[in-house]
Amino acid sequence: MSSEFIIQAREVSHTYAGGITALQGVTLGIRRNEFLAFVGANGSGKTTLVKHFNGLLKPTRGSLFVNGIDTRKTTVSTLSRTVGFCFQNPDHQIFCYSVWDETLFGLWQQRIPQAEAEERAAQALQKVGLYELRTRHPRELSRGQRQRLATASLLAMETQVLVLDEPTTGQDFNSRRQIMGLAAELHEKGRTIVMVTHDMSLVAEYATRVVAMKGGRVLLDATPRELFQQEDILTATGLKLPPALALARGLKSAGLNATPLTLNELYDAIVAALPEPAKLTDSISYVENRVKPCPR
Amino acid sequence: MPAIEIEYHKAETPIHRLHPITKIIFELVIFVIAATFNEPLYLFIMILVVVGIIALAQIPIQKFRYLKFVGFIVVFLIITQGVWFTSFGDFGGTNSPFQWHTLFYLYPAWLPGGPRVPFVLEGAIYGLALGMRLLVISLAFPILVITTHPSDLVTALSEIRIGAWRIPYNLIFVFTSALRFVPTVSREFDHTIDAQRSRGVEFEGYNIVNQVRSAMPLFVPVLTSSLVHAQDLTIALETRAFGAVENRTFIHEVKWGKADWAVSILLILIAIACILAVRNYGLGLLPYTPQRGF
Repeated sequence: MSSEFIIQAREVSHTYAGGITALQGVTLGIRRNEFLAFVGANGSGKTTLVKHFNGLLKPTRGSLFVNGIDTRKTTVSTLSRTVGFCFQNPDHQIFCYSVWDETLFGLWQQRIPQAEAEERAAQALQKVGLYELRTRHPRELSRGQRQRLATASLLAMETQVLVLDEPTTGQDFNSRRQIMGLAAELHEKGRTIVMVTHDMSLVAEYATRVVAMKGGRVLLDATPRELFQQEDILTATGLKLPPALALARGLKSAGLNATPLTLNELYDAIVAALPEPAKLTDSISYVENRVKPCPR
Repeated sequence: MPAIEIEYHKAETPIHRLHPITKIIFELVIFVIAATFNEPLYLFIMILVVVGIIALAQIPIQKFRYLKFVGFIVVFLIITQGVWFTSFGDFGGTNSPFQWHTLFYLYPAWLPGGPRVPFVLEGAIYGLALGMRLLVISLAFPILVITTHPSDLVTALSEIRIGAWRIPYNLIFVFTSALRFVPTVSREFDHTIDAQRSRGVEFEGYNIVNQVRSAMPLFVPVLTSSLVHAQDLTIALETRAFGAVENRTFIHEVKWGKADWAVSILLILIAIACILAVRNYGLGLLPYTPQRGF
């Protein structure tokens, strides 16, 4: 067992008790300190696959190792010390009478000393901007705040691997930035982040590696830049380009040849492509005549 | 974790075509017959018949995953009846003095003061019979819900009338939406179990202290989200003017055909025959149980 991979799936297939096969022979290795995004249409097997990472589901065929441990031979509560899992719907986990207790709950489960637990909980709540609301009842919070609370209670556990299932659904721009900023910060500190998402701008901005799935199989395993250059994969999985890239594609006919992932990169690409000021007026009229409405 | 999936399952079978009331009669007849017999052999035949009907209705086997829990209850009944059955003393109506068969002692002979707490064969058989009654009923109950479209059930129930009286529509709605909520709540349970296990809560194992401790993280989210669901439902109902008209009509009607007459009459005749067989001839009764000659 090489220690290079923190999570290693070998020919993992999963068939649900209802008879639906959601995964078909997925082989995948996740290295330490990767920021991996799973993308694909609904029902492509993304969530089923990540649920294997902390043992909630066990492979019906093949095997899956987390930190060298076969998930079939251990329990979810043991794996929860290595892999933190943040669910789409926060209401399935929130049950305490205050935000503060809720954040501490996971730490109590792991028998972390009270003083350390409180410090970690305070930090996590500050990071998601809920520290001031810590005495409130979780039901008094808005849906977006509850989602951040669920994320905070997971972050406080400081696991090596963090699985985020649709972390930014229903979040406004600021909360989205808070949550993703947090994930990026943990990634910098050496944690492995696994994210399931439909939001291509998140993939473009944060992920170091992206796995596109379709029909329970891995369609593409590459960097975000490589993914966005393969139009056929994008159409096959029903994915949308991130805004910066869509804009760049629109400008292609005007002579912009770049694959920018973020708006900053797009800006640089445009500046680099701009002709000398003398030719600028010519260019503008040229662009005006040539640019057609951007598809999508 | 298996979900309780008692939901309408579409198929084209004779069972699906029957009127919902016929299926309700079927369920009632099953309840009555299961209550009259207490001999395992007769109940076993009943189970075979019900399984045959399930096969005829093409209900997928996965819908019956909850039977695992029924299995636990059956084992529990056999053990408890085996131990406690005889301790109720005299069973009037058994003519000949009856010989109990002790299989083994829970408190064995080699311990001081033993043997104590006999495990009696007849009690275990009676326990098995009780368990099989439960099994028959729990096998038969989902047939109505799985083979009947929910709106057909509502229509059929609202057509029941005695003179000018009808079942109030509110009541029917409560009944059908309660049935509808069973799989939903079951799914909520599954999701909550997943979410809490991911945070390190142990639901596995037989440690009683752990089980009690893990009840809070499990039941609070399920209960609150059920209440939220219910509230959402009331809002959705009110926006659609629920209860605005006194006499509700239905766009789709269910017909009571010849097959329904035939099946219903046959079922009722079978029920009467079974009751008479038990009452007059003592068929399908264990000889040492108090029901004899009721």
